[in-house]
Amino acid sequence: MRRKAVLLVLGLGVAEPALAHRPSDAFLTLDIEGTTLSGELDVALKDLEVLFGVDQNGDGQISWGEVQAQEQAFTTYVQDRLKLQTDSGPCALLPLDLQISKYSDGAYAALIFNTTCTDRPIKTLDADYSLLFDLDRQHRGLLRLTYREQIITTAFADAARTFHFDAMAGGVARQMQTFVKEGLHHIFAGFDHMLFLIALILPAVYFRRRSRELHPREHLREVLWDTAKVVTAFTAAHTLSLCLTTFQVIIPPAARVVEAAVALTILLASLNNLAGVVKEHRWVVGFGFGLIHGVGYASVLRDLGLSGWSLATPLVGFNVGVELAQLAIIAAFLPVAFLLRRTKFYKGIFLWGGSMATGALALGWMVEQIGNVKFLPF
Amino acid sequence: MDRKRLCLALAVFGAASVPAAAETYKPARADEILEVLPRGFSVPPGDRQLPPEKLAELRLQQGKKTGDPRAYGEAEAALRPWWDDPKPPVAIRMMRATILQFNHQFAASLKDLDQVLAEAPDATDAQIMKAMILMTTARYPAAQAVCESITGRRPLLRMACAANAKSLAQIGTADEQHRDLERLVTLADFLGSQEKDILPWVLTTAGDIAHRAGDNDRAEGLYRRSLQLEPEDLYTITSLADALLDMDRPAEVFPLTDDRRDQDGLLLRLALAAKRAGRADAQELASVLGDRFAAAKARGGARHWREEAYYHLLVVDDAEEAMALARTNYETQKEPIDRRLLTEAAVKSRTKLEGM
Repeated sequence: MRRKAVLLVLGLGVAEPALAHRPSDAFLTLDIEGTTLSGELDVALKDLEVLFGVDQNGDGQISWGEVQAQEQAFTTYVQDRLKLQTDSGPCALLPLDLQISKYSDGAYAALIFNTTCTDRPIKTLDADYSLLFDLDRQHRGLLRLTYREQIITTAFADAARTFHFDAMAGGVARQMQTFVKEGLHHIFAGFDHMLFLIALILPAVYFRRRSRELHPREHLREVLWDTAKVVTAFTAAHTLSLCLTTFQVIIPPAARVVEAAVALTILLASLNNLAGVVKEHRWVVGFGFGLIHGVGYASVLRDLGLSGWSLATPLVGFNVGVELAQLAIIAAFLPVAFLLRRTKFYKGIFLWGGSMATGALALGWMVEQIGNVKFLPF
Repeated sequence: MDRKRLCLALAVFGAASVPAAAETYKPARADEILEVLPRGFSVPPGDRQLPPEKLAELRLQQGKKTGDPRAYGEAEAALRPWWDDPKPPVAIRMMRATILQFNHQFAASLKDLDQVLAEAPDATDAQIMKAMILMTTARYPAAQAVCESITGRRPLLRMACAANAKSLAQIGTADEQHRDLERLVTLADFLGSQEKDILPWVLTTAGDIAHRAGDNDRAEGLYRRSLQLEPEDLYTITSLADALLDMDRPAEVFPLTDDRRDQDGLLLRLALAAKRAGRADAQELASVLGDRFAAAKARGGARHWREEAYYHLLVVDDAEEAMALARTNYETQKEPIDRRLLTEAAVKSRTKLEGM
């Protein structure tokens, strides 16, 4: 015993023995998408061997058939040792499929699962992980949780088996920031709203009297004042309808109807630029159209998995983002338009050509929405 | 008019990023082989009806042979009833000290070893482990004292231990160091047959001493002699690879490491050799190694700072990161190689080292 013990010690080579192999890690991915919680748990086949003795024929090799034979035992084990709970209650794990994942240190059994947490938007998540610690105290469960744009990682260990996630954490400031960005992105990446804005302000540098003819305005401040009236009316309107829709005071019609209506507003604005039907008080029209656009924005917030009264910050943030984007577009466009207003270039290409193009696009979108077809590339 | 969803990479709250699987798929055939297990890899669940101390002993033996952290983790789990016990039985305390040492919890391990030696002053294995920990943490005079107190008729063991401590402390001139080495090797030749169990270790230790003294040729010879007796000793293989790299013979590292890529330490030497020799898969090896370090980082717990520092210094040429890792390494390990690492990193990152 003495000699053997000495050998045991000497062979250690204190320097860096632990680098020899990878220690035992499992990889848990959890995805929260609005109201559903799903994920995947990858456990090393080596660990499965320790748990269940997968290598039934003792040939030192693990085959797919041998893994499949343990599917039920593995699933039950995971259901026993991984407990998930949201603010709505406990989530039972529903296995979907068993596959194999290849990592740099070998093959893992991948249990792909859904959960019974599907009723309401998920606000908090508690996870309790107790796989393998009783057999290998150095085991770690590496968690990667995705919730909208956030990716949160943590490591479960024998001494740290629980994890708590709060969707609303991070404070109001961070939430606000997120939604300001969403609002900005919605305008810039959403062709439709940008187009509407441009269609609305293209003619700002002109005025029409009875003759429907376009006369360039003399002073920049007239231009700004006109624009300000229209845009403010538009903004006030979409803020109003956004709030009313979000808090379900207004129940919007089907998404396609709303989208078609938004397209119609663009079409009408473009036509008005060409035909000059509405000459003064364009702000009234801006207001009316704003109401429609606001309903459209509300569906974006709904798509992002939010509804109800927890929305105060997101709502304000989103709206601020939208306003900032609008201001940016106007600030970029208006001075240039003012300088070019007397030129045939502006009149011809921008006002006429631009309005015709946006009108045509809007018509196309309307047809797509109404007919539920898709033929435009964007 | 699709509303495009935002993909803000707002990766907040995250610790390190968790490594991703290369691929997830459903195998087509039941007889597709997915994994090959090393021999004696684990105790089958059916055989686990052993008393926990027996199971721990079995797993520790396996761990010593392969260096597999799973074996140590399983031993630790088996010893759970005693893990926080301040006064466990001696045999269990010795096992606990071994596991703590493996996890680089040196202070806790020493505490246990001192207790073992208080109850059993002649426990050679405890003396050796204590000496080794003291050497790793640069307490050389204390290490030497422990070596010389090794009792029992083990002159070779005593001498090798003491010589190693002296060499690490870099005591004596180059000539004196060479003389010590000669004496050790001669003694090994004479007494090797009597203390056969430790001869491979003595030869490897002599190799280390030669390597430290700058005599790489001698070191190579000694390492190879050791490998003839124990061909699978990971520490010796790693040390030989280092000597070959120092002598600028990277191609000779390949046969030592190509089939042993499971071991991170050897993969590092392989990646380094591949880079120096301009092998086609050098980049791929480097990135696999990077994944391993990322995974270790994601787990939390002990990290292999020395290896990681060398990786950043020599494989990916990130001197800044290497410097930070070298510093962290030096907080727990202070062997000459750790000092050398610190200096090399400082030079490459143009950092000034103060008061080292």
